[in-house]
Amino acid sequence: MSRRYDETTVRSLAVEYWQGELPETERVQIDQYLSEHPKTALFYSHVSEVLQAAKELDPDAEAEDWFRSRGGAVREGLVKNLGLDQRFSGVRTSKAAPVIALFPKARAYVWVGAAAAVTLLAVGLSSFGAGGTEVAIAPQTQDKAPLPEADAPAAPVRSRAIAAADFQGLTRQSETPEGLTLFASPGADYAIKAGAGGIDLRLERGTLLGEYIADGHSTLSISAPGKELVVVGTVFYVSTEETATRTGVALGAVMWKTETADRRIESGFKVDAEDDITPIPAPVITAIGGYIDLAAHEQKLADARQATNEGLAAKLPTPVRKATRRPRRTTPPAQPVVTEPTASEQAYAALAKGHHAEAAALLERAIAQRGAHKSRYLMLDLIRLYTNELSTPEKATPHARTFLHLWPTDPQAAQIRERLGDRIHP
Amino acid sequence: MTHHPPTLELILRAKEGDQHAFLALYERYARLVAARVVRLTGRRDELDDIVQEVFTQLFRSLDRFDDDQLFEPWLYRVTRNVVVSHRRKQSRTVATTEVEDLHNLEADQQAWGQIKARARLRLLYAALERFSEEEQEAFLLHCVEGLTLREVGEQTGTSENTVSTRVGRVRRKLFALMDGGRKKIGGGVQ
Repeated sequence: MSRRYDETTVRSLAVEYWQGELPETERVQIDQYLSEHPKTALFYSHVSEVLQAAKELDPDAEAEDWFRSRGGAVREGLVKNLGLDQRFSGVRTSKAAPVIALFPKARAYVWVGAAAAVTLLAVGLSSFGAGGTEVAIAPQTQDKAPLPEADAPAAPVRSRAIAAADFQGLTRQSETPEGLTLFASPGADYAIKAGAGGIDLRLERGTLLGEYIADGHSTLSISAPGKELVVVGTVFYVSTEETATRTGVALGAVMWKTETADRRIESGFKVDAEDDITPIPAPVITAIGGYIDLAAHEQKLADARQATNEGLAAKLPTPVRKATRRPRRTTPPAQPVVTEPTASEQAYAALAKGHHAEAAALLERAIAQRGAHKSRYLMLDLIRLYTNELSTPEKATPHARTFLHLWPTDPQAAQIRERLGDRIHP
Repeated sequence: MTHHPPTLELILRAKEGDQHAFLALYERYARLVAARVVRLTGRRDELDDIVQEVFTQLFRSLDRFDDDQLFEPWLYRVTRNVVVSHRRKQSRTVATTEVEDLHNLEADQQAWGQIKARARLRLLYAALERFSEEEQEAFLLHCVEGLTLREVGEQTGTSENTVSTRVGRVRRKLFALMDGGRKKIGGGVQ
């Protein structure tokens, strides 16, 4: 049964039309109506602009910004108005160091099973005391002792943003334990200790970019001044400066522990010294890709996962049998290999220039060339592009469906369902 | 080795008079509250007052918090109530282009874009005030935040059908209201 489209009807459906919630047949008819009725098209243009402005409001970013600049003053106001003890206001005194962890060591198996490839970017610092914003209680003091004092947020001192330039001139390190490939910045000061439980890496200064594939039995623990990370099956970098601690995830997810709370950092995001979680710039991903082939890393992870699964399966009848370790692939080249840019490289180059439509088209091509099952992070970026930058969520829908089908337990899956749920499950 | 106290532990300790725990709740949830206020009001210039009031209310009503219920939805309701109350107290001023905006008119395209975006937001939120708080909330969460009807229902403690009805009502009428108001409210920056 066809519906009659007049101005009143089209206007009443404008929001649903903008949201892409109308059935295709209805949408086509409204397209047609708008193309023939400039006055209503102008009205719809206004609807679209207003809703887009509301969508771009980004309350979380506004709130974070407000908290940094005004959170301390409001806290002081609370202390004063509620008659709280003045001792509770003021500067943080907790000395507890924050902890970054991809996941607890005990969950290493589970994570390798989930096989998310993770790129971790962390810039450590010498003094992280102002980085956290909440409080922690030492377990032994929970019963009686008061909580360590929470601070008023320090005056914002914005740390330098991580940039592709941070990855220039890294040198491949030869003395590394099996499974770990490292590239170090000039002057990097670090030490590695390999033991039965895994690898401990201590970074005092400089930048390390690494690739690590866990075998399910060991972990790579990294400590930098003020930060600790437990890495399982990742491409990562750690860098220490005097003033900033930053962490990011290009693929997969990490659990990042500070004294404030555990937070999950998902694919494509980084956390800086101010605890802001923001997207990793595409050029940084490209720069990392110059040293470590991220697609190949995903394949290595898949191999490791398979090895782990085989090992676990083999263990069932004979629990004493050790899991089989598959031979590792060759390590990445010491220097970036100069080749013709791939579609994905071209895509990220376009993205860096802000050419979103071109980037989307190139990502489409890259996914088609690689196959969807090998294009997890490309697909994520494409979904983000369509939904966030190009405002064409309908184009993201088929990719979202594919992504959820292939990686239903991926940390990003929940976010995709949240953003596109109505479209994916009409 | 540090321990991150669960929210419930902080609440229980705050209930017992542990002021550190209460301030820890503030540190943990102030951003969340602020984000919700921005979402509900479309502006951040009143955040200081509203967030402080939310935590004042929280402090005074902690005794009534049932330990079995979830904290965040409860906090959400407190926030919403404070926003509603705040709006009622205020004499709403007609949204006009701010003086500093006018000074910015000579700035670059980006500044001009921001001015227009703010003007549009004012139009939207001014029009939304013609609807009930529940309808505004349902519309913003579903149509702007992109939550599904079910998720909106879960967050606001209502059924999916109720949410759908509320969203539908706003959708049908909102832009007719805005279209009428645009000429006098936002015409200067369109």
